[in-house]
Amino acid sequence: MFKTKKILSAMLALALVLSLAAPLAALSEETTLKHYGDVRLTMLFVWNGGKIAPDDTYNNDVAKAIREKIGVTVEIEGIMMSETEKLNLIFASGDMPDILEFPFWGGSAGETGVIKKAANEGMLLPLDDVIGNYPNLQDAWDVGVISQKFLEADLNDPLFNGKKYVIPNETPGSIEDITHWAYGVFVRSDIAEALGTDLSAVKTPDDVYNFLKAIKDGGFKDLNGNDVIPASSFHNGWGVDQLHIGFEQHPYFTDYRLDADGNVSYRFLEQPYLDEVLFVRKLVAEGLLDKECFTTTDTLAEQKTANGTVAVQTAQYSVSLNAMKKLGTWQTNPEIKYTPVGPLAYGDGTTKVQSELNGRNGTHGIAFPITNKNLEASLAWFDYINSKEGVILTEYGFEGDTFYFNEAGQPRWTDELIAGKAAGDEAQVVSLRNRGIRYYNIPLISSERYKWFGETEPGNADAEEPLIVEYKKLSPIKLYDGYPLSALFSTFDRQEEFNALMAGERERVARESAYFAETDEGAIAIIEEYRNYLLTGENGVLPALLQYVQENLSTREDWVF
Amino acid sequence: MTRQAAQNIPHVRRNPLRVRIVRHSAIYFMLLPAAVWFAVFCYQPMYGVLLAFKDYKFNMGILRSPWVGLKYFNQFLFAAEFWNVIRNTLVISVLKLACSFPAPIILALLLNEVQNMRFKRVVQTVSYLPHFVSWVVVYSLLTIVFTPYGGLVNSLRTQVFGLEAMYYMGEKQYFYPMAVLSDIWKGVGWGTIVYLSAITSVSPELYEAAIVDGAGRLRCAWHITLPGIRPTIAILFILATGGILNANTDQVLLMQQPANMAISQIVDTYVLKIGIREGRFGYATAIGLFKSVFSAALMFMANAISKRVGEISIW
Repeated sequence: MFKTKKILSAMLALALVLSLAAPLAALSEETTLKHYGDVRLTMLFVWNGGKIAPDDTYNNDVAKAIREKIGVTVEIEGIMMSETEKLNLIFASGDMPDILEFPFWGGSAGETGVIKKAANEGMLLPLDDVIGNYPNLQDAWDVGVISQKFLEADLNDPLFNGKKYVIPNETPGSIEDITHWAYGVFVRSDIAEALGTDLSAVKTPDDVYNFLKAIKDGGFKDLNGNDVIPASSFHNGWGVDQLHIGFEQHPYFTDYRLDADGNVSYRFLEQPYLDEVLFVRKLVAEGLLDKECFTTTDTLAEQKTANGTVAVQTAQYSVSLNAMKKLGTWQTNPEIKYTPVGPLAYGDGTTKVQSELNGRNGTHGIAFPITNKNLEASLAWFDYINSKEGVILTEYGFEGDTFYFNEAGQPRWTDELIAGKAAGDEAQVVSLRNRGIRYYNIPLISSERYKWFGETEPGNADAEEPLIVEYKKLSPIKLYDGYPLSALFSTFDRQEEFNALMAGERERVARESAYFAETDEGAIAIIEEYRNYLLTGENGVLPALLQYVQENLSTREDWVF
Repeated sequence: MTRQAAQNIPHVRRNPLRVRIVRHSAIYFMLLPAAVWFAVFCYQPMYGVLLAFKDYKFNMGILRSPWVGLKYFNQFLFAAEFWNVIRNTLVISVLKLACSFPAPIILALLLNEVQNMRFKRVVQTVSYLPHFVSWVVVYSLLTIVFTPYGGLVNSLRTQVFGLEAMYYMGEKQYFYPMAVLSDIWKGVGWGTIVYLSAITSVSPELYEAAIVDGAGRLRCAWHITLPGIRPTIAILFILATGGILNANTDQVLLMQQPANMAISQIVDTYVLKIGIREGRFGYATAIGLFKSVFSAALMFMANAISKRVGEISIW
């Protein structure tokens, strides 16, 4: 009897072991190769500016190849409206896509607030139980890829009760993978030559003013014979800040500062901010800065740039050069090609750089609403497109057709595609997109593209515009370590009042209104009114917050600001 | 209907409502789609005003979200921008009421005097067209015409008159004129339709008698046409008064510029930017409800005054 029991027990134990082992064995295969049949998912790319889709989002070449591999198709749609507004509407209406991709800058940013609210109110799926099955998504939360502050205060917000809801994406795996945006100030080459100005000597706001004044007095004309506008920007004033970078002492990562005596302050309450506003007002009042630039569109700005109507353009270097390529003046009027001014300097005299925290302090995020049809398939799709094989497929396309492997084993676009990229061929971009190539390029997590391929995007190694390559050397990327003061906000207990105080675009409205004030006194009055609002609005929540941050400074020593 | 007219109607014993409905069932049946439309699209969504009293939670919906009483009304009434947005809305609306409201009446009177029917039809058609152009297009046209960088108006200023270019769209002092004039341009032709139709109902015999008595065109227009369409004007004025806190969101939002923001932020653009865009749905609804109650009160008041003074009213 006892022996029979023993045998039965052994058999039962064996059955249990086998029943556990079988799924485990299956799981190890599932992590890389599981085929989901034909799961069709939707992704909303919540970024104001849209995401142009291929003609066929389901049957393009790349989608078919991914479907063949894992049986999942993701169709991405973009938006053309405020990101915060769209996210609010999605969650309030319940009309949610399977996957959301959105700005997740952290801190008090509007989009971050909506996502956190959605997570806390049960509108997003927690990922903790499943995320471990996807090897290519594992390093997304590594400190170094993201910053300690971003991890603690935003991705693992204490209100999430230890759950993960957001995958940070568009995160660079190394400094080489950080996208260099090449922001700065750029002038028409022919005008710079005619003036004979040493462009590298233009450093301070005074230098900028004198340079723009010389352009205005020079009576230069655009390609149609109209007067040039000394300086302008792209949509809604994008890039104007590049003209007054000298009012900042050095790069900052938040609007909350620590002075030499250890006092916490808020940028918009300080003198340099007012000086900066008065400087821009002077440019506007004297006709040195395009009065329409604060409400312009990119389309109009591109026309003004390509026609040489704008003598000095701001924002990203590539945008100005691409405008010329797009509208044909790159070939017809090469003499106006924009060239870098400066680079300008910060108030402490150091040259402007693209400053980055060691590990992203805020980035884009991916989350899965509770209406998601198949979370496993969704994550498997991300896992695949972030694998080396997936990145080659989505970025480079098909071997022998759109790319080949060089001697170092790195994928490289064909010569024809490289030539098209160098020439800014829009038709080529459309044609590749319709095949799905570079359509799925945004949701890359912990990108290792440079390490893998020796270039951060197809064609960069061979066809990046030499003018931009040169400028990147002049104004490089610089990494900083540390913990921003804004990290302390997440434990401040008057969040609702603080968010109400910061709601809307009050600072922007006040600042831009001041730019157009009739006098300096008028501008100062507008800024003072805004400051009064900051100091007294919502029962004085801002002074209380600054006090709170001040009192909690001793909690660590590695503040960066 | 005037009070006098109502009193003149003889008192007739009427059948009960049920009997009348059965008797005229075919007509009531034709009314049904409209009633259903109103119920579904106008009355059913009105339960959403509850949001004004709720702390809205995504997962609880409107009905299950917790109550917060009058919190959002308090927030709005004591908001830093309250008086500014109310003042801006009223100023823009009153200006439009003063300028845009009489414009179609004047145009209708003028068109009524045109003898050449072909010319009249051309003028009518041309003046109707802007109504069908969206505000986005109107704003784009205004920008192109008034831009300081090669725009038509500024080219005239600089090249013909030797003056400096002016940024009309961005100068604070030009905001009201631009808003009102573009509103008139867009709406004047369409607005004449109702008045021209009202004018046709004025008895031709009155004109004939006046002409016999030696009245000219101006006197006929002043003493016959204008009094003849007075009830129409009064009713449209009462309705316009009810919409006094609607200063035309599309137009104002598009025409907002940094320089004119102090005078162009109206209630609806404030709701859009501070309420809806930021996801403060309760706050936005509270302002909307406040606006509706205020507008309804104004309309009742205008109706009562009109009834007392001119014996003309909506109800």
